[in-house]
This record gives sequence, C-alpha cells and structure tokens, in this order.
Amino acid sequence: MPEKLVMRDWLSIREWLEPRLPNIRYVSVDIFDTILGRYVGDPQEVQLAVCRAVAERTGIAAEEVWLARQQAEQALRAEAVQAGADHECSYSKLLPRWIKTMGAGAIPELAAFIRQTELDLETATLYVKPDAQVFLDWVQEQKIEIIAMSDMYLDGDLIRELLRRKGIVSYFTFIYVSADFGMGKYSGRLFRQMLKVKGVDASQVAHIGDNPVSDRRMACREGIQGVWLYEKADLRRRERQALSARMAQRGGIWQGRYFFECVQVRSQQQDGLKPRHFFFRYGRDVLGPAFSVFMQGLQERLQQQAAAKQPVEKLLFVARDGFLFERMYQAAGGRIPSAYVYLSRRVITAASTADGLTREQARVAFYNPKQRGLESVCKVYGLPAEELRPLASEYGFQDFAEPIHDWEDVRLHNFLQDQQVQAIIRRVGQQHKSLLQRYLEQVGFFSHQRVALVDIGWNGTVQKFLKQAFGQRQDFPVLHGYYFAFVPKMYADFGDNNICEGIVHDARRGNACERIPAEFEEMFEQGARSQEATTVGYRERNGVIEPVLKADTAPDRQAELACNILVTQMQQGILHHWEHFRVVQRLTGYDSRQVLPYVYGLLERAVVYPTREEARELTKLAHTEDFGHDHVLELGNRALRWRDLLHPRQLMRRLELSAWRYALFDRMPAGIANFAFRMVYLHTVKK
Amino acid sequence: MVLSPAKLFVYALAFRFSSGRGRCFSPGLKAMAVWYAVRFRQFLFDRSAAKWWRAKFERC
Repeated sequence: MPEKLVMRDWLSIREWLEPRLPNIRYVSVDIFDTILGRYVGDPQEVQLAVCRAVAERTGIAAEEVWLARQQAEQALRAEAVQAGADHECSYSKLLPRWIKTMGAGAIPELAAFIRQTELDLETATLYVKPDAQVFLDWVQEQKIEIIAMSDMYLDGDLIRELLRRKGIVSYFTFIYVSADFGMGKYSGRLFRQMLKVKGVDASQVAHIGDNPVSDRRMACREGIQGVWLYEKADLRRRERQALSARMAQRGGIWQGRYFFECVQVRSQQQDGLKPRHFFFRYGRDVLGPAFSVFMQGLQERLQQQAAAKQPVEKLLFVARDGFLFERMYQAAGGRIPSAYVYLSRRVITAASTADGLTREQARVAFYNPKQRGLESVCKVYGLPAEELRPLASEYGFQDFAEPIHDWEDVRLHNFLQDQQVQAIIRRVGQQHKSLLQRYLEQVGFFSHQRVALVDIGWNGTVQKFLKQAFGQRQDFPVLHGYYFAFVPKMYADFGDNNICEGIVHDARRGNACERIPAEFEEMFEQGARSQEATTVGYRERNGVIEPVLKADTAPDRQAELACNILVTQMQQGILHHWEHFRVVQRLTGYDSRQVLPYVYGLLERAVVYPTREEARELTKLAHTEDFGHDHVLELGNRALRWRDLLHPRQLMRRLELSAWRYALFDRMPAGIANFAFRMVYLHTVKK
Repeated sequence: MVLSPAKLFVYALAFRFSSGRGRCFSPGLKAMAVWYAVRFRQFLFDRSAAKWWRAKFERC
C-alpha cells in the first residue's frame, strides 16, 4: 500500500527514494510546474500571445481568434466525453478545428505558423528547475528508467520537442501525455495505461508531481507510490504573479509592474545564482528598463512609418551615446540597415563656422563655468589657436586663456569683426565642413530618402546643425530624430522635413512626471556611451574619411578610461535585461506606452530616492563633456548633514551646483528629506 | 525592479502636493487598496497551506 507522501523539495524525495531503490523499476515525473517551471503566473498567457500573433498574421481581431480557439477546444472536449474518453483534447485535432472556426482555412501554412509560434512561446516561458535536473541526473545514475507524464493539450511529439529545446529530453524513456491517449492522470486512467504498456506492477513505480490530486491521490489509488511535491515558495510566487496579471487589466502602472515582475522572475531563474557586481545590477534593474522601453518605442515608431508607406531606410546611431542603442538594436535583429556614426557636437559646430563665426556662436563656449575665453572658443569650434593668438593680442587679449565673463566685451566684438580673423575661421570651417560632408556621404546619409538619427538626447544639436549645414542639398533626406529624452531648450525650429521626438521624455508634452531623465542626464549618458573617446574631427586616409578621436592623454579622457570597466558592467546588465524584456514583450504584447508609466516610477525611485549603495557607487563615475572642454564633472559631493540645514544659503548653493542633488541626502533616514526637496523643486520648476 | 504600489503612491504624492499632477505613476488609491486587500486575504487564507492540511488529513 503506498504511503502518504508530501515532500517540500527534491532532496527530500531523493532521501526517501534512496533506500527503496531495489524495489523501484520506474520513476515517473510530472512535467509542467514539476520539472519545468513557468516565468508567468498564468499559463493562459501563452495561448493569448499565440492568438495575438495569429490575429496579426490573418487580420482577424485577436478576441475573435481567442473565441474561436475556446469554441473549438470546448467542442473537442465535449466530443471526447461523449465517446467515453476523459475530458481531453489534443493540439493536432484542435488546430484544424480552430482554423476552420475562425474561417481562415484559405491562408497558406497557417497551421504550421500557429504550431511553431505556440512551441516558441511555450519554450520562452519555461525553465528547467535546477533541483529537478539534479534529481533526474541522480535517478539516471541509479540506472532507473524515468517516464514523463502530463495532463496537457499538446501532443507527445510537441512535448518531446519542448523537452529537447530545454535540453532534458534524453532523461526520459517514454512520454505519456493525456492528449495522445484521451485519458488523464486526474481520472487515474493514464496511470493504468502506463502500467499496461510497460507491463509493470504498480508497486514498482514512484510518481512525483505538483498536483495533490492528479499526482498523488490518483496515483496512490492505482497502487503507484505518488509523491506530492509541495514547493511553498514557488506556489506563493505563482499566486502573486497571478494577482499581478489580474491587476494589469486595470491599466496604469499595473501593466508595467506586471511586465517587469515577469522580466525579474525570468532573469532571476537564469541568473539568480551568479554573484553580480553593483554596476551590472544597476544596469539590469534601473537603466535596463528605461533603455529597453526606449528601444521598444523606437521599433514601434519604425513600424508605424513602414505602415504609413513612409519607411525609414537607414538608422544612424549617433556617437557616443548611440553605441549601446545600436548594440540593443542588433541584438533584437533589427531589419533596417543601421550604422554607428562618428558625429559629435564638436565636429558639427566646427563645420558651422564655414561662413564665419558670429558673436552668438562664440558665446556658446562661455556657458561652461570653467571656460577659458578665446582658448575655449578655439576648442569648441576646432579653430587654430596659434594663428589667432597674435591677432587677439592686437585687440587687447594679452592672455588668450583669460575667461570672458562680459559677453558684450568690446575686445571680443572687434576681434570677431576683423576680416583677417574671419578669413582664418572660414578657411578652417570650410575644411571641417567638407570633411564632415564627405564622411556623411560615406556612411550613406545622402543616399536615402528617409533617415533616422538615434541618440540619447537632449537638444537635438546634431540634427539641427546637419539640416542647417547641408539642408540646401537636393538629396538631403527627410530626417527623423528619435531621442531617449528630448529637451529642446536651445532651439525651437528644426526646419521642414526634420522631425524630432523624445520617446521616454519629450519636454513638449509638458508632463512633469516624465522629465526625470533630464534631472540626472549624466547617469543615462554614462550608461549608454561608447568606450571610445569623443570625435574631435576627421581625416582622410587612402581615400577614406575616418574619425579623429580625442587623445587618451587628455585629462578628461584619462578619467573616462578609468571608469570604462564600470560602464562595461553596467551595459552588460542592460543587455541582459533587454534579452528578457523582448521575450516578455512578445508574451504579453504590451507596447511602450503601456509600460512607460511604471518606468517613470522606477526612474523616480532611482534618481530621487537612491539607496546609500547607489549614491556611493554611482558617484565613482567621472562624467565628461564632448563640447571641446577638457572638463570632468564630479558626480559626487559630500553628503549633507543635519547641521548643514543651519546654513541655508550654503546649502542652496551646494544643491544648485550638484549634478545629482538627491544623492546628497543619502545620510538622512527614510527618504523624508528627498521627498521634501522633491516637492520644493517641483514647485520651482515650470509646470 | 519591482516596486511596491505603496512606494509608487508616495512618490507620486510629491507631484500631487506641488504641481497637482501626480497621476502618471500613481497606482491609484482604489487599485492599491484592492491590491493590499487581496494580498492580506492571501496571507490569511493561504490556499497552498490549506491544500497541504487537506493532504495531511486525507486517507491515502
């Protein structure tokens, strides 16, 4: 007589089984939720995702496809019961009936497409439980045959394929599926069938499964030793995920929350045991969601363009922050030809002096608090300081590196009025412009009707100046700028056929909640940037225009090089997230707009309410500008203490100068100071 | 990566108290109440534990 066995883990089962091995010939295991776990709370998610894919393929509404499937399945189950079998239906019978019910029989190869999609999505939602695999290894070493048994609508050959894809099919000598035999474990008939086929006594079989009725009670009734695998933590997780899935139907942040819960479960199951560095975790858990939703939004916009018969023909990922986005695009198997292009504000502004330098242009160099007068102007616009220095001294600039705080400085005015000065500037500017133009021709910029620039943001300077410098060319393409965050503070008019859009944040939408990336831009730039130095110009070599990068000896570049290892870890984390994001997106069918509200909350937490570890680690990064200055922005500052509140002026000054204000409060408990400062700040910014 | 609804609600309050626009990542008071009520019910009436007790007292 079988014992009543409820086991909490695979190790306990092994301990129980070990002394009884001489009497056991077969170990039978349930497949789903026993050997294979699911990343989603509700297995129905897979069927719904298949219906969405079918709807997309056939043009029939997804709800109708789902209804047709339900009708076909119910009819088949009812017929099986009438025929005296169990309430079972097999996929091989369901598929033609389903296609017929939705009236899509004329669509070629639809059955093969549905079958393949269902198999792909099932594979994507399942994982092999590590403990279960250890147990299967052990049983195999004991030379005992393992049988798989499942109450499932998928036929045996599909289950076999699933197990093959998961790399565990070789453990099993036979697979009994209710769909093949028309009988289930829940009635005990599948157990009887197995005993009959194998010609074995029930006492020589042990069956393990997660269902207390089908896998334990019914097995015991047939004389088989049934073991109920009671994995409490797994059951609670599934219950929690099922609740999240129900809440997701309410919309708002709940969809995003459910979405990222699935991503997290998937990521933890595959990667949870590996010790990960802080920067990897930060990339995976904070920047990963933000950049992934941006890439998802980008793909949606490209699809919309294609649907409107105005397809983007070439994607240009702009250096240096487009580096990560290009890698993410390639990882997702993007079909539009793409390239990583060496453009920077520096080379663009240098080309803009082809017609001379105005006072307004010169002022741009003085925005930086560490500016060094005419020397900064030369650096920003790539002008020859040694040629201009003697001319400058004629106008009273004894020290070429003297900071210019008075923007109406008469000396500057007279210096820029000098024809000789302007001639030098124009000559150099035209060289810059010519090289830039040839570089753009080389990367195919002018060879397409519609080109998209992809960058992190913020003002769209590159896009603005490209149009300004080369917009008169007949072959200048319609230009789309897709930015992670678009904050057009410097320019309002981008001209005709020059479209800009911020996908995660667009200041023109006027939504205060989404402007969080603009409050710590440096973090996002660090997460996306290439390891290479910024582009400072171009040179011709063997008829090819190649970028000239800033020298590694520059002080800001030295600081950058020291941080490259941390940036690499962060980007590995982001790409890890992106891999799981794509699978969950396919499964849930959510678009970027559905996920974005939650991502804003996630970023609000990360920027405004950082943990101590985040404040400590992230401030190790050195941030550099690519605008000609050799300037390193310190992200870290000494944390505020209570006594700092006694000196409000000094406190305000420190807050103003800090790149990441909220990190200064990390010594104050419970985030109360962050909350208070956030409110004050939101009051002061333009609503 | 997965934030509690209560935290999101508090973060959104900073917007509500300042600009009056805190809806975009607020879970909503009603939905949050439903969430915590269901979680509390799940805690009190643990279905998996009930199954375990049922199996324990059931005849083999």
